[in-house]
Amino acid sequence: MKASLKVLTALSLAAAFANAALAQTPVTVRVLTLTAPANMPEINAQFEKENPGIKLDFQIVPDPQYGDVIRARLAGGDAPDVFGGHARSEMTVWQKSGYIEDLSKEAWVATLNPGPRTLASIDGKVYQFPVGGDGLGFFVNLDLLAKVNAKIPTNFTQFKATLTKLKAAGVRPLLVGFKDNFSSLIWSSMAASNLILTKNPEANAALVSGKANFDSAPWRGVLKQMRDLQGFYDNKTALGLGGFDEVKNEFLAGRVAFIPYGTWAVQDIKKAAPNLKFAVIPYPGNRAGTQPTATVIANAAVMVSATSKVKDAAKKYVAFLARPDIYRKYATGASLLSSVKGVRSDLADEINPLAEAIAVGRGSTFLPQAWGGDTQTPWTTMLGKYFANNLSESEALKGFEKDFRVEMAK
Amino acid sequence: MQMPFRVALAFLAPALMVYSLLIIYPALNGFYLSLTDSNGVNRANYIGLANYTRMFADSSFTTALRNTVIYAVLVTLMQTVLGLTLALWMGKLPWLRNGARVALFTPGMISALIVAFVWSNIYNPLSGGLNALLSAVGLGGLTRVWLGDPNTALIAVAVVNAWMYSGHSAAIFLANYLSIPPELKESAELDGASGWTMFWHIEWPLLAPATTVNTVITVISALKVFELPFIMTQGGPGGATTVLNLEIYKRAFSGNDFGYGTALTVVLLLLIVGLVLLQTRVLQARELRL
Repeated sequence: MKASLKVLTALSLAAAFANAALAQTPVTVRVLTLTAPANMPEINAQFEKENPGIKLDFQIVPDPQYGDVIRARLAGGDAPDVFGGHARSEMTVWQKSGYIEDLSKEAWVATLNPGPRTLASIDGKVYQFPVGGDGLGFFVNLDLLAKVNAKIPTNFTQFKATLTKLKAAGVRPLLVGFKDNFSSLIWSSMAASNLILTKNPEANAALVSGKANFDSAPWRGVLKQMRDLQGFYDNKTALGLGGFDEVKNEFLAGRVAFIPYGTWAVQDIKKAAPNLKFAVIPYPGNRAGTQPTATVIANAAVMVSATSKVKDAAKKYVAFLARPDIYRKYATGASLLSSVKGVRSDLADEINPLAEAIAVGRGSTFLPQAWGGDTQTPWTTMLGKYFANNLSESEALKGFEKDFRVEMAK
Repeated sequence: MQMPFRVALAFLAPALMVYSLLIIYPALNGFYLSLTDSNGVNRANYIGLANYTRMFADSSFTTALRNTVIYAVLVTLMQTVLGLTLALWMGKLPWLRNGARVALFTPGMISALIVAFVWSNIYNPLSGGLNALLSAVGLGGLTRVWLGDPNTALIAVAVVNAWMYSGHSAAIFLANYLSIPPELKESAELDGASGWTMFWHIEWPLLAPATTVNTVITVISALKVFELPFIMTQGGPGGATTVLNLEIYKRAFSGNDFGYGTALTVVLLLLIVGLVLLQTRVLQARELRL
């Protein structure tokens, strides 16, 4: 009896020591994402310091390889515990496949701004933490504006008047690039923000649900506004220029007054052309007597794998990123507009006009993100044909409607 | 002594296994995928030939098919003519031959991605070298928005393709050209042949084998083109440079329509095999006649 008691005691002590050892073994959270700010190592180090039982295995695979890598890992059953994605775009497919965790009960969900929260939700449930957005606006060369004694325009009438002055002074007033569909894609979104979504914020939801269609006066107006400015840019030249790089290079060289672009480029432009005085303004496509609306393109988002074996630790990491003091560091490091209420990232002064518009509620979501699915490809294909083949607004939008409904049915 | 079949099979087995695993199995699997509505993630229901019937009512497909065939014809013509011209020139200037061969091979060794970016800059309508050169030599009237005009975009991309690989074509033509017996040319010269007559009646018929090899390789490569239109024009303007591989990429990877994208791949494969078989038959018959 004494011997068996000794054995039992020894076994119990051994089990207790083993449990204690296991409890002290750090849990590793595997994180895979497509983008992160330069200060991410510092943010991750702070998380590990505050959570000594959790180690992070953090990897970045940039676009366009990221899509292939994450698809293969998800389909192969080797999902990272926390992974990134483009805001919303793959979310609906992944949610249907059971790859991503419902994060609705997390405390940080209540702190999200309404726009990003909507994008991160399916049927009212939140599946992503949106890391912030980039602003879409018109970059304006302030020196060229000063040359013609013009102020920053705040409506379409003023915009056309400014472009006219610039053209008369021999300055290239406006440059867009349709070769890669970049300028047409972001410009159409900005035009829609001003002409449709300010007055009718539910317009996108009505399209998605089938209650409205594209071949209608408001949407024809969006295309027409871009075409109406062809007196200030050459359509053929635009078709031969890339909006993403070649147009930006002309702006960097100080040879054009206005280009449509996104705030992610601000730091690069400041580095490449430190003497260039410029500002990023909301596209002044609005009517006189109103204020222009900015457009925000949601950046990446972070999700928790539904099959993660360290779900609690993974959720802790996402909650850490969403914490206001940490999120501010993240958004500032990535030069993103904030998706969290009450947090304003430190952005370059050049972005102030855009940031101020968003701060007072004059911001709307980039069109393909608001629609969901892969609506960007058929939208840009339609814009390409509209400008290259000189289609009428109705022809172009009717063609897009067909492809849009196919996408919505997927 | 002939090797018994079983022994030969045993020697071939490892290679056959690897080939089956890496080529045959994925091809058969791909063909099956083309009969489904796969989205590449979580769905692949069998739908029979629906993807194929959809294709022929799809104007994007018919446009891409037309562009692909026109592109292959343009590249084959330009590359063959340029390659042949360079080979004849190198054949007649032996002291320049080795250096020229290396120089002409260089464009084909550069990554297609880099070539596409460089030529996009050359074609830039505002600051590109081509328009600047034309203006500088008094041909300002010929300046164009090369990649932005639906009438010139496809040929502009084809020129880049032909430029990249004309060195390869020249090498193949040169090897054939140097194997032409000199006695044939000498006796033709004695009969008064020279210049164009010599080329058309003596050299060109004897270059038939190189012509067959060159055109077959060029047609296959041109039908499969992807990087050049992807980087230079993204398939625009207005679909003018959308080729089949670009359409496949858009459907499968941007649109998550893997079933349909794979069906397009099967059609491209059949197009390549069909055209090459026809081409080989015609050109080999020509070789025999000559």
